[in-house]
Amino acid sequence: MSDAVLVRNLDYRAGKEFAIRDLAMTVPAGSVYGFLGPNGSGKTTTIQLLLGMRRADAGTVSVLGHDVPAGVHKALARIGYVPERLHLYPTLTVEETLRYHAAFYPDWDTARAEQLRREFALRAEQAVERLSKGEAGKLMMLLALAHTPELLVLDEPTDGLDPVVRRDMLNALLEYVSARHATVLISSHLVHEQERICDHVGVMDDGRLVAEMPMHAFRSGIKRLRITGAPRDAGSPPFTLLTRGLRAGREEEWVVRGWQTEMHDWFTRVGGEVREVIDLDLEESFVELLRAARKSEPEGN
Amino acid sequence: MFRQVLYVQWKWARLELIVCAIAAFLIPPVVMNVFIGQYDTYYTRGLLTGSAATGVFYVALALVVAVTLAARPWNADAALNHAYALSLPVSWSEFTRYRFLAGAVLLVVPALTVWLSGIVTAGSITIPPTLQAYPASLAIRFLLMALVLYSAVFALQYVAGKRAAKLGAWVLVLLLVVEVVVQLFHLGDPFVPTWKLLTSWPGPFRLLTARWMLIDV
Amino acid sequence: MSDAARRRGGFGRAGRYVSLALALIASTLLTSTLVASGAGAQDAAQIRARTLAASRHALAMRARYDSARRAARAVLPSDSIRAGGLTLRVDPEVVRGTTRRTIERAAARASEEIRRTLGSAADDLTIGNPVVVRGLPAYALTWRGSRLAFGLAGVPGRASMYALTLSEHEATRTILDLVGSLAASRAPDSLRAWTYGWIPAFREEESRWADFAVELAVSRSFVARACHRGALGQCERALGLVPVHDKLTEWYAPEDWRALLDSWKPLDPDVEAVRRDCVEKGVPASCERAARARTVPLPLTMAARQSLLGLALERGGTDAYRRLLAARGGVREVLAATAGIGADSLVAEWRARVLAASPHGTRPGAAEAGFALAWVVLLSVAAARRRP
Repeated sequence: MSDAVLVRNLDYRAGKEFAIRDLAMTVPAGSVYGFLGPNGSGKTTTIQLLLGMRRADAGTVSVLGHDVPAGVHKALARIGYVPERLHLYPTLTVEETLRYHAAFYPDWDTARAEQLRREFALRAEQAVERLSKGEAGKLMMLLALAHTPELLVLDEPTDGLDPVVRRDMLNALLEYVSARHATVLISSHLVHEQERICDHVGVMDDGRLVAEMPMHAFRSGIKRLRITGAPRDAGSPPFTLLTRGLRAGREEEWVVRGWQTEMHDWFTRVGGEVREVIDLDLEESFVELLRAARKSEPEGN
Repeated sequence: MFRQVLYVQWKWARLELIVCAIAAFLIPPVVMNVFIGQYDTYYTRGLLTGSAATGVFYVALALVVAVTLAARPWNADAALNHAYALSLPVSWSEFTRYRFLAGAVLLVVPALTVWLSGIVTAGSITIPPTLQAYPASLAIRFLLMALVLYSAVFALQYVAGKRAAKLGAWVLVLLLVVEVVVQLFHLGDPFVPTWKLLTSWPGPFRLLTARWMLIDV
Repeated sequence: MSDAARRRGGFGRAGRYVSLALALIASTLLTSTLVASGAGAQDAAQIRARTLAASRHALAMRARYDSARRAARAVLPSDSIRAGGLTLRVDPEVVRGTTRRTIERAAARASEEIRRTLGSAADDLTIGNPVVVRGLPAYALTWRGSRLAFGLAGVPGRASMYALTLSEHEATRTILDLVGSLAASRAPDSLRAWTYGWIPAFREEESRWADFAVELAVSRSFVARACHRGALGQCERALGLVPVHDKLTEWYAPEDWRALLDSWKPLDPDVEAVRRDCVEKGVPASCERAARARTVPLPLTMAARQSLLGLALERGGTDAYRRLLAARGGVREVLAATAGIGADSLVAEWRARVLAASPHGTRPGAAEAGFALAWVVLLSVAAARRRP
């Protein structure tokens, strides 16, 4: 099995306003896939569709080799899931929650769960409703890791947490990934955090996956160019033009993807000149991608 | 798996079940003694009247425990938008079955209490030779009725979802309004045929209209 | 509601709806009570004046109604309904449309039942005294909106009132009740006195036999309880087939007197103190003295006696009523002639029938339990089908 998650032509509509349209997504096995996108872009909905918690209107989904929704329960036994919001019963204690959760997973590792509980400093007799946000996040991470899953699906796992807790959770995650070679699908709108851990990235906006590529290509492939003299209709460039706009005077600013140094010659051929090539960090690249994607959407969408 | 589901549902409902158990122990002897009177326990008619009065209590008790045990798990999952339940590696139908069975098993607790309280109550009074005590039969009838009511509320809850409570409330209001109108204007009661259908064979609530007597002929 | 409370899965929204329903119920009941009691702020003098005027008006109306009723009674309604041997005279102004069809069907059913129970000897019962169905004048309407009065021509006293929307069952039952008093009017005096002027013209429902079983078991009379336990001789006493000299001692034991007196409403002041002495302290002399201040009740209700008569008619076949009319002697002899078997055997059969109809207590039968469990399974399967 080469892909942990494979999605093709996925359509889903929730109410009048929101839809996921023709989604295609591939999460390679053993990768750490960063699922980026602004709030409300459809990341959580997509994750819920992958896990069979919602039913798609059209398309195919395969997770760990099992079709969703037909074989989703077999897949879920091998998946560790941390949702965006606390999804545990508030009146149970930490220990009761662990026992309840363990009952559903044949591969539950009690010793590992206990070790993580102590590492995360969670008191067994404390009720879930009395846990702080950070403690609740750690508990959910513990539940996801303790049954040694092959695929971890984490939906904004560190959102709203303080830096110390975030660090603890990410360390536990990385430790697990390196030890087990598990696949991770982690969604977040915190781009800088994803940059540290992910080796693949997918960018979601308004129900569509606007880009999907290895992280190194994402990091290095988007540039901002300062151009002069380029004609309005420059033909077909050898790179992907994301946005083009005027700056002061006659200088233009182009944001491009897939830039390489030898592409200076193309500008020379069309009568333009490259004044400056600026590297964008991940966050800036992300913003430019979104801007380009929104510009290319037909009016009214 | 089932044991954990049962434990969690017990934890959610244990307060109500304990209160119902206490009520089942306290109320029948008190009511029986009210009807028997303070002078002499050999008031046969009072025993039957007292039994009939406590019969109403048992029906109400069955309804309360049934609604509690059926509604509580749904509400707990619905408060989380069913995210936890749906993310577990069991199918929805299997999960629902566990939920249902756990609640059904917990109904044994109040049924046992009814049985024990029946034994205690019957033992505390003099029963004349023409009457008998039926604590075990009463407990069985209670359990069956509670099971049927529980199943009905459970099905309503899990099929109608969030709308179940609203639906239930509107049905109550409709029943009340219709009954008031019928009485005020001396009309034929439109619900009588439906009620008769539900409470005679093979309707589900046949047990309701039978005798709920701890002490009977 | 806080997030924690919401997640706790409390009855939040459901609780609000239930509370709303309860509030509506309470407010409706309160409103009904207020309406019924006629609460409202009014001037006292106005109320007095209006009440006086209303009383005078009501008295005048009542006088006019009484004279109209007396006049109307002398004349039978013009329309008639016939079913088998049964004759009804009905007021065409009121008995029409759906009401008439209901009464026609009821008459047909009643006729069949009378023929089955009393045989052909009852065919001419209503020729001279037809069942009369009159409309009540508007000013005589009761608060229940009754518009029909059922009675017997030439037999004052027996009347039942119903709304125009009466059911077929109500009409049938009323007709049978009325015919029962006609059937008794021809019976031997001894039987008529014993059955208080009424013979059942229909077969008793099974549920009523169960009521007699309960009655036997809980009767305040020791003879009835002894009958329940198997003493047939006591059954005859309980059913009033054996002449008694002292009802208080022959029907009730001293230990029964206290229960008897406790069930009575307060007596005359000079006897009331004695009654209370009996009830509160259990003094036998006081109990006897207080009990003799009033008529001693029958050990069993009149309905139980009438069920014995009904059993005799059933046992005796289609000519049973004819033999009843021709019988002579005391009640035992008349019953025996009616049933075609000895009174002892009849009473034994009555007791067996009553005990066989005893409520099965609280124990659910196998079929009852099976159906209940089937519903449980069906509902649980239905619940699992819909995913949130």
